[in-house]
Amino acid sequence: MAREQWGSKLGVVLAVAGSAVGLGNFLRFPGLLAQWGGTFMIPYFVSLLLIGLPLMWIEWTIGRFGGGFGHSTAPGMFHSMREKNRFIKYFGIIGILGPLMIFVYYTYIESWLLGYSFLALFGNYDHCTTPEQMGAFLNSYQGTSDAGPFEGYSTAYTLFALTFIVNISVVWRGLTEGIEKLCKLAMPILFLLAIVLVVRIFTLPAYEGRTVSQGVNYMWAPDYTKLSDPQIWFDAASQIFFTLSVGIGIILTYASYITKKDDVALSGLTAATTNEFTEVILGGSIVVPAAFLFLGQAQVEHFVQGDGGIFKLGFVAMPLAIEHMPYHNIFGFIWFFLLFIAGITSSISMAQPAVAFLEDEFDLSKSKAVSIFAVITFSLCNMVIFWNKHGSIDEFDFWAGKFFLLIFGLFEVILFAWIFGLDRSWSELHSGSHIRIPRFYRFVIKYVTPAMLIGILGYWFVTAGWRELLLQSVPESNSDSMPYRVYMRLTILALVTVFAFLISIAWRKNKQKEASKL
Amino acid sequence: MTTSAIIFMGFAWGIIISMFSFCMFKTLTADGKNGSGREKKYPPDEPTLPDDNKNHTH
Repeated sequence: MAREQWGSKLGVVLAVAGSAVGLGNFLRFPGLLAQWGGTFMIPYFVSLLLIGLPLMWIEWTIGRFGGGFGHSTAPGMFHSMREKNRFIKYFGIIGILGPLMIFVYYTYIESWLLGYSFLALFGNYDHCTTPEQMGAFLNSYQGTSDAGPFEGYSTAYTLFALTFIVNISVVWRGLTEGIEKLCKLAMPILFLLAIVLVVRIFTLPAYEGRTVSQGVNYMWAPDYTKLSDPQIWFDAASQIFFTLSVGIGIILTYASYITKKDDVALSGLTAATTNEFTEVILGGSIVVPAAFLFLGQAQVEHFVQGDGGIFKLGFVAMPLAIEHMPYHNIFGFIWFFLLFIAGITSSISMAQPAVAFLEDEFDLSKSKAVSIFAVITFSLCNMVIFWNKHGSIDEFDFWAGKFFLLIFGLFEVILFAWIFGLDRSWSELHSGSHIRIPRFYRFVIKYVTPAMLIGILGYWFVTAGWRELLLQSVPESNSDSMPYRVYMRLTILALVTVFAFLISIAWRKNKQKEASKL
Repeated sequence: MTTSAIIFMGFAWGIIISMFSFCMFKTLTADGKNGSGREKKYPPDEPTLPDDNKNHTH
């Protein structure tokens, strides 16, 4: 079966950038910047240069290398890089299962954004004038509270079904006709909508003695004493890690569809800087300045430092702020639809590794592979939706969005620099390259990036990870959620086992096929 | 806005905008004809196996 290929260089760059640009760009980054002030940009840039860019180049290179052997996913790629080791392919499970698990809860969150786009347009939450009322409206929409305008899950579920169908339809249409076409259309629209919001917010008049420039000053004013706090370094490094979509297997899959003579060094850098432009320039200029202007500094601090900060910034603070603007229904729609676009360009990328795995390793047609993926993820989505009040999103996010990501990223660097060998890797990275990467990055990739990743992993594990691992972070008031949490963990364990089994079958089958050819 | 906030914001925006412009320009022109900015179209049926790995087995 002929492998798919990207239609153009810009297409693959926009697809990778679309995968990276997500809710974190517009919500998590401004929240962290507001929390730490302009000083945050020092560890942020250090992390971008020493973790983000190296991982970006590593994943593009491994992806293209594996694609040369007909593999679009991590198990086959890792095996291609170290054939002697028969276990190495099993490390690649994370590169398929991680994105699949994130797809499951991300699609649900994405559906809230689609739902809120319409709710904003039709003024359905106009009566909410306080953070408490807006929070209750959100809980009612999600079906986690009976107090509110929505009865049960019907609205949220309908919007979820619609979002899920849209996602599956795009993946079904294939790489160039589905993913690439959507990203080439969606990314310019996303930029346009974000620029409209930035211009609108920066031209707003003063409100109750506060101005937008005071809000910007609140975000960017540096406090050098904070640099001695290890948490600022951890927050910056993890933000870079998550925002670039590295350590998850998506870039590996996307890069596998380019050929050996095509550039990866410049493409990786362009995708990363496109994401950074969206995050720092656009994302950093919307939610916090607007919330500061209309709600005040105390409220903003409450949102960025309290529990569920980024969701509250997006679904509570921003709608409340926009309500003070003229034509608030239109700007509310723009805000949520912008986030929906950022979400869908990410979620379709999360579907591709699992679909590609079934296509490559089991010779399934696109339609069969997508159908299997849809059935499995739809079942899991139902678990996430109906157990949301029992922490289903937190549980999936802990494993796929944190634990797997860090472990997988660390493994990739070690594989690239130490197992495959830095000389070979460097040569692979520069094959067909349009730019020369400075030689000091050889040292960075071999020593600095793995050391920093080990540091992040260790710090996270000591400060929060072990408590989450042992379920000690679940509040006592939610103790009835424990059985659900355990059941979800067993489901994840079952998925790991199933994928390990599938890899084993695929390799045995392909070995027999090749033996019969000889 | 305070001077220090302007410096930090200008520094961050300056770096990002410069990097983004440089990369986008290079990406759009690197494969174009005579640097005309035309984006590269990959040949539809180009072989994907690297030359030195064609006989690779699982």
